Amino acid sequence: MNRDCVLKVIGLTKKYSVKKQQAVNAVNNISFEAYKGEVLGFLGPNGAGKTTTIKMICSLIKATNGKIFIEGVDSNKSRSKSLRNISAVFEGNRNIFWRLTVRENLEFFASLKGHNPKKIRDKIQYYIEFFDLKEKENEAARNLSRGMQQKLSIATAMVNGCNIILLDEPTLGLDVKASYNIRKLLKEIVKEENKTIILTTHDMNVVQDTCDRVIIMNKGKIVAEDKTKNLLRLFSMKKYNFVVEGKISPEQKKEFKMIPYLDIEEKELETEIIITLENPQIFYDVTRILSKEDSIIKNIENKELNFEKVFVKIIGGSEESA
Amino acid sequence: MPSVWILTKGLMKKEIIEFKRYLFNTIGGILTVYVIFLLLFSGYKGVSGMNIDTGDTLENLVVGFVLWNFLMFSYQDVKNTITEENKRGTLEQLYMSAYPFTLLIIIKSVISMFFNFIFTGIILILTMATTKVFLNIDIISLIPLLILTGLSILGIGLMLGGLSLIFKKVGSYMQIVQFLIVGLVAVPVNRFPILRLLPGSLGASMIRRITIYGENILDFSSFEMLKLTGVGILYLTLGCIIYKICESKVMEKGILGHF
Repeated sequence: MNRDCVLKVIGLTKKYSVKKQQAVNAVNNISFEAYKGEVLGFLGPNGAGKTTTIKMICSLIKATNGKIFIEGVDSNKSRSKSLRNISAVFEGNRNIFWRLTVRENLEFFASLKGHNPKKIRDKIQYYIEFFDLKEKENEAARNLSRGMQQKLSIATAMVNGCNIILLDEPTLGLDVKASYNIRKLLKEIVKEENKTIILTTHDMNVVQDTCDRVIIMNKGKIVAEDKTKNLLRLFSMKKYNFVVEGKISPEQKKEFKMIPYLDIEEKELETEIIITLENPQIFYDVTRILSKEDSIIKNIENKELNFEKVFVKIIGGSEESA
Repeated sequence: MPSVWILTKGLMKKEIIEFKRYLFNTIGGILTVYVIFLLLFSGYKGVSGMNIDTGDTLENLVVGFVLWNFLMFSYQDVKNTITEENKRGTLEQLYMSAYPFTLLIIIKSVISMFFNFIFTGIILILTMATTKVFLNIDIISLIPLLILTGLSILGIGLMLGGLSLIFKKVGSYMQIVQFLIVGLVAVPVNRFPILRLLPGSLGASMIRRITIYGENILDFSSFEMLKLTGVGILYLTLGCIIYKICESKVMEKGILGHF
């Protein structure tokens, strides 16, 4: 294990038996590492195996195969010891005790991890202020807004000193402002506390904003793993947009349809032909088809991609190759 | 494993906070139990008639009812903790504590048992005042017997809690256990000694001897105490084993947090 590696997953597999002799591979032989002070995002469509992976790391789902090392501790061999180094906030607002106040929740979660709340009083106070919960510290959790409940959930995961925080869909169901606040807080946590955050999400803004590295899963397998900026660069470099004056002819359309990964967007005064340069020949093919009918190319631009498009592209690719 | 005392203090504080915050509910619960007793008592009077010498039957009714309540609270606490935390979504958080969950739930139940002593005491005072039947309340003798009797019921609670993890919505079936506990408290262990092996039965019989016939803990032979302890440990161990088996099945199926 590397010096900075805090989580190592080797050959993790989860098979569910649906009927006799029939098994569904929810997670299929995945391996990855997470490092100190990074935000690692798990991205994938529904049923990709993200939550199952997170719950196996938390020892809440028994893996069929594979090993998980949390700060060097084999979680199969020493469940309780490995759990001392890890906290999790699961999907929804059901991670906190609704009858307890903000402060009482933080104290109770600390004692669940074996920390005497009296001895970490300063730390509790720090997190109440860090998560901007000071005004509500004596309010029962059930009376808080959804955004505040989520802040409290993350605070409870932080207060017990765990170095690895797992967040399952941390911005799900939050309004734009609350989602922005959570994203901001996650960045601050990593920056100020050097913690490792592993999150699953459907929200591309979360990935683009907060994740240093992304693992994209589909059908239980890892289909891509790289730094967020590399994934974005990889696709933005290959995507071009031809802006053509007026409409293109049906013959041209027919020929364009033969080119893979080409989209046509017809507007009132112009037509956009968006290509992905899987092969440089595509560029020449497009210009050849356009020149045949003297179509006027107004502009050729390198198209900016957001993470959503990268994600759709990777998932699409993985399904085609399957 | 970190200090168990920290966990115990944390669980106790949570229990006290919830008890104080929901005091009205607690009082309502006690009053409901008392009203049920009044109905039972009125029915009993109607059947036996006011002028008939009832011997120790009335005492038996009071002890049986109070004991049934105590054991029922103890059994329900384990099962309710598991099902309620599952419903609220906090069960997974409890599972992620630095302590084994079975230890956590046992500690929580023992703390709840302590609160049950208080509620049972209040119910006992109310029932004694109503019936004018004053029992021998030898606290020193009763507390160890109640704890040992409660252990076996805790075991039953763990078994059923485990089953509710797998089968989820089994609440209505679990209600039947309440009536089984009436049977366990009332079985004539002196006539059929084998019945002493049933959870709670031997303890109930010994508690009756103290409260109705004025005996104390020193009147019991070491063999009797050993049997009571053995039965308590046996059912608690069985409860833990069955709970662990259910937990393992649930984790294999990946349905721990589902409800």
